[in-house]
Amino acid sequence: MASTFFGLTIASSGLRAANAALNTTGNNISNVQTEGYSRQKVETEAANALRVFATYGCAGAGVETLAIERVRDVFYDHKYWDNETKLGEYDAKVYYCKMIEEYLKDDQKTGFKSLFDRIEETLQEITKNANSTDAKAQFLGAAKTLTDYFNNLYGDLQDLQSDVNDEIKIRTDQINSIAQDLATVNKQINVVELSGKRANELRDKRDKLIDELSAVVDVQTAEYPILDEQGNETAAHRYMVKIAGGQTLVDMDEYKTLICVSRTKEEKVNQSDVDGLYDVMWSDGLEFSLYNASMGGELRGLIEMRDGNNGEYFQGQVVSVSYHENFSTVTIQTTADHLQSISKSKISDSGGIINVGNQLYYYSKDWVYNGNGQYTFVVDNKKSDEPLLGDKVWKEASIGGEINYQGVPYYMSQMNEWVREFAKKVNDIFKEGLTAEDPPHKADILFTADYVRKEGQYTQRELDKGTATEENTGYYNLTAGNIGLLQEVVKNPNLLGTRKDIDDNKGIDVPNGDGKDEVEGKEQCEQVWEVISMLRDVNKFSFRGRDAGGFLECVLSDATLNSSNAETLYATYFSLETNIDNQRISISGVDEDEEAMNLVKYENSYTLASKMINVLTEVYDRLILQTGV
Amino acid sequence: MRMTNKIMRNNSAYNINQNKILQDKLTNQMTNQSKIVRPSDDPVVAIRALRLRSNVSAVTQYNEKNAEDAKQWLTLTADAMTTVDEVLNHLYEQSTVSADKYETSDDLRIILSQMKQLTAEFYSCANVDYAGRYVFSGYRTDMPVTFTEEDERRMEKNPVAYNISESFGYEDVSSISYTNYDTLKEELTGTNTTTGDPNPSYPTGVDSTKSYEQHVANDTLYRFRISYNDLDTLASGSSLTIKLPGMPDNENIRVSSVGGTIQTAIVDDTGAAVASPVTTAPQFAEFADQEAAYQAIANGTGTPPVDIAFIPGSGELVFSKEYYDKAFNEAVFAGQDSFHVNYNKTSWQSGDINPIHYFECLETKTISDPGVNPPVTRVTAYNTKRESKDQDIFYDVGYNQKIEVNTCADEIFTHDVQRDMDDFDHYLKQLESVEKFQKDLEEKQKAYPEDSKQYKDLEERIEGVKKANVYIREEIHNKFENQITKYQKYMDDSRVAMTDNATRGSRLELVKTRLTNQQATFKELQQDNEGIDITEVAVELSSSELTYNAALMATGKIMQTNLMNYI
Repeated sequence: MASTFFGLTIASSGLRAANAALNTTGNNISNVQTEGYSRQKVETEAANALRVFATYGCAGAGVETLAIERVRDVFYDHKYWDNETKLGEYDAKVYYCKMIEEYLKDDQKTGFKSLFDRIEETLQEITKNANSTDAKAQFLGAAKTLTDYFNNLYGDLQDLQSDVNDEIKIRTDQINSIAQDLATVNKQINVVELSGKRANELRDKRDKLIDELSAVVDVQTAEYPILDEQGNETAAHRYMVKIAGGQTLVDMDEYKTLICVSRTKEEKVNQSDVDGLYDVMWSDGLEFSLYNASMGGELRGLIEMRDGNNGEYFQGQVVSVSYHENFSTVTIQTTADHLQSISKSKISDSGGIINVGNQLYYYSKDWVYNGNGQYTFVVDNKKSDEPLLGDKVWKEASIGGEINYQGVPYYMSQMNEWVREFAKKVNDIFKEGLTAEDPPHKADILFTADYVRKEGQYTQRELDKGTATEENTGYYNLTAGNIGLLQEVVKNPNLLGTRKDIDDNKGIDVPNGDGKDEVEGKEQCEQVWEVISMLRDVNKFSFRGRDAGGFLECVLSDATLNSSNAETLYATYFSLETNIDNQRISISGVDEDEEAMNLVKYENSYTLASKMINVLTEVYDRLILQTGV
Repeated sequence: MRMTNKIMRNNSAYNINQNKILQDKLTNQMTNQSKIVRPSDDPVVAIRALRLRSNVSAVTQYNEKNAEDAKQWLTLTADAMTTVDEVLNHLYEQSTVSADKYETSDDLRIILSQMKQLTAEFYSCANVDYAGRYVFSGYRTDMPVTFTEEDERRMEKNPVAYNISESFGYEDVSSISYTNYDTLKEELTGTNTTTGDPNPSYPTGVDSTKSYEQHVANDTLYRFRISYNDLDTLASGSSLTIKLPGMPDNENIRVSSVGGTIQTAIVDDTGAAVASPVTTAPQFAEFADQEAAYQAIANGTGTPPVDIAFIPGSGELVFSKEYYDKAFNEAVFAGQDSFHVNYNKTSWQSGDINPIHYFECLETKTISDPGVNPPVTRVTAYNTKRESKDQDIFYDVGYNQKIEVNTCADEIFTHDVQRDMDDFDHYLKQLESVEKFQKDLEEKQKAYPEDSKQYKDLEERIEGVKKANVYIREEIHNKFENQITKYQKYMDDSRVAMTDNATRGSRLELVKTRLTNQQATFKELQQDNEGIDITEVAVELSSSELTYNAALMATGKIMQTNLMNYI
């Protein structure tokens, strides 16, 4: 037979349980708007029945309040994080793609196509009045506007690249700060949970940190119980956070930090990169694999935007090495299409790092292209771990890496390629012509660029050379950033080689030996006609299979496709985010109606449990004061 | 699924946001009247828009600028050519009425002076300009077709020598009739010792069995007329390079004067002497006087007799019928359609046609820069490099469609109009001199008694001169009749050029019509591509507004209450 006061125990357990439930409801209601909060519920269990050795068997011993647990399904968290990673990537891309699109778009006045059409129009005006200095000055004005357009676009894209670079720094700092918080929270959780309690709020906080982190970079988390010596689970857990394709960031209360190191001029990857791009590495000096294919998040979006080369990077096979103690000369045979023309070259003009047979070497700016797929670099043996020796022959060599996205370097190289090819074609026609002076002279080129390190402009002779050593420069030296017009021609438009040199007498300066110069009238402007036909004829000038004016169509269509792609995917992942978040809320979220009901429910329980005590009081009153007295 | 208030709020917020995005897009379309704001809104539309915009701007340039300019040029040319036609017509009429209208040299002089006026007018049409550009000058729009007075002054100070290569065809060799009354000019000589009268005896070379009248002959000579007169004389150091029909390639006759003696040499195209030439050079002589040259050829003077007489003053190469039969017969011409003469001319007058618009030539001028540089001689070649002297200016009036806007001087303004006048001048001179000669003889006759031998002799000679006068007048009459045909030919030639010009004008009209259509089509396509259908967008906009309001209302209702309100 159970104790007379057994009922009181049972009632008090009910009272306690109802109290806990009421408090939890109160907590839930209070946190109804708290971000990342998961609703909590009180786990109760019928208490072990008391064997009372009576005919009716065991007597229920009331309720046992086990724990206050948060309601959460990790499955949805992982889904959410994966989605955040994608969303983050496209978030970054949408912004920068839109910027690029904005730079490239043609507003009918200042866009490429408008300026290019103007060139053709002004050329036609020359054909109508070839003797007029005015018509030529107008053409030069149009050409100058076009070069200005490229200069500006180049500057804009460099600024953009620089912005992306700064944001990369901000994002790595964010990763560092989250990592630190995570380590702290991990420690606190273990401290709390070792004492046998559930650290619901801390776990919510940790999940929220991961929410944040997952937007920046892809995250994988794992939680294992820590075993004691006997192999039994303790209440402590080991929580690991891995980012960027499985590189450990946080392990329990330990975390790693990322640092950004600026590249020097001698470490540039692409010719048109801005100085000081960051390489990201772990603070302990280990490599952080930035171009990891499985990396995600904003960081991926930013890296692809900053370094994306559409998969076109320098790669080839070493065919010969000549070793000279301090330096070695290495010749590399390439086969990729984009490496067969100097006008498509992206190789740094101030030196960079080349990977030869999995070993990094510094090459100097004095590299040479032989016009036949072979590049020769001079590498500094003092700067690398081991000298470049003959054993590297037939090994693979590469500069930079394959980043299969159309980022800033891609647009830069597209612009450079067009600018170089176009400048060369136009120059080749005009330099064959005669000036409109009296007497006429052999004309000079039209497009050139300022020297980098000194006063003056590249000359015709320098541009016509095909390689890139200091004084031995070709059209490689012309970029969208520095292209301009030859000063002399701008000053005197009549120096433009508009007339065909029918006598091939190189002008008056260099008689062809027969002592006379054949001169046709000033209206003769066959060179101008030739330029016009070059502008239109895809057989004479082709850029990605289009005519000269097709440049913007090609490049803008890249930009718009990237932009609209990014936008579509952003919208998709954004709507998915709402969806998954709703699913999470569906499980973990606090519902006001539900809590209101709980409030009524638990209030009732509490009232009833108190009533029970009230009843028992009457029972004891009857039993003690009135029974048998 | 467990539904919480937050999910409902999230969903509402998401949906309202989507609605707003749509509304924003529609509002933008309405305000911009364009389907897209940024290219990525619809890349296909954006790229197509670029291409269409280029098309529109190209067609606009073709239609509104190039075709307009071409039209102006063609119209101006047409106007100038109409004047040319009128002038030639006047000349034609003049020569028709003049053929029989004159009696004496005075009449002829008046007629010719009228014709000369017209001729000058004819050439002045060649210098028509369009905004400072000479329209008939081919590529050399900065150089008038004929030399201006300024040019003349300039060349007086710094002479400019032209070495001109002119080609002739079979039809350019023409016959002229020359009235030879040379014998009449010889005076009777000697004195009769018995009577004291002069004992006149016939001059040597005069066949006394023939009467004076019989000595007056009308000889047929042949010549080709160079396009210019007043050429540099061989005596002054110039030379003449001739390639006659039937001569082998790379052989030319060079005629020059060494110490006053005319010399000929066979040279190749570079000017070097040919070692063993096939050609035998004909006998050349240079004459300052046209009359003397004709006479020499007619009389066959010289040992060996002169084959070809070069008259730099009148710009002629004259030869006899015998030489013509020998050197210019059809057998010689077979397979060859032209022969060439290369000559020099340094003296130019305003109104002379500038040879650079017509012939292969070399221009030699001395550029002096007093006090700065020593004088430099500059030789400039014209028209030597291209197969044809093609100086057509083209305007671009469509995709790969060019129209030739100019007409070159050589298509209309022939040298012949002027050279014909020169011939007339020569005839006038002949007529004048024969008239004067007759008058002189008549004067002289008066000094002798009527029965004297001299009187009779002079009487006979005067009869001869009259015959010569008749011959010459006959010649002039023929010349005028020929001239009618010639002017007819010049008119025909210039009308060919006019028709050509007009044909291009009407082709341009067609092109312009098509361009205008194209322009409209492209603009329409542009509108179709980028433009919006306002009705459609307006309907969409108001429907999205409705949806937006409904969403707001629903969301407001949901969020207002919860269970708490009812407990």
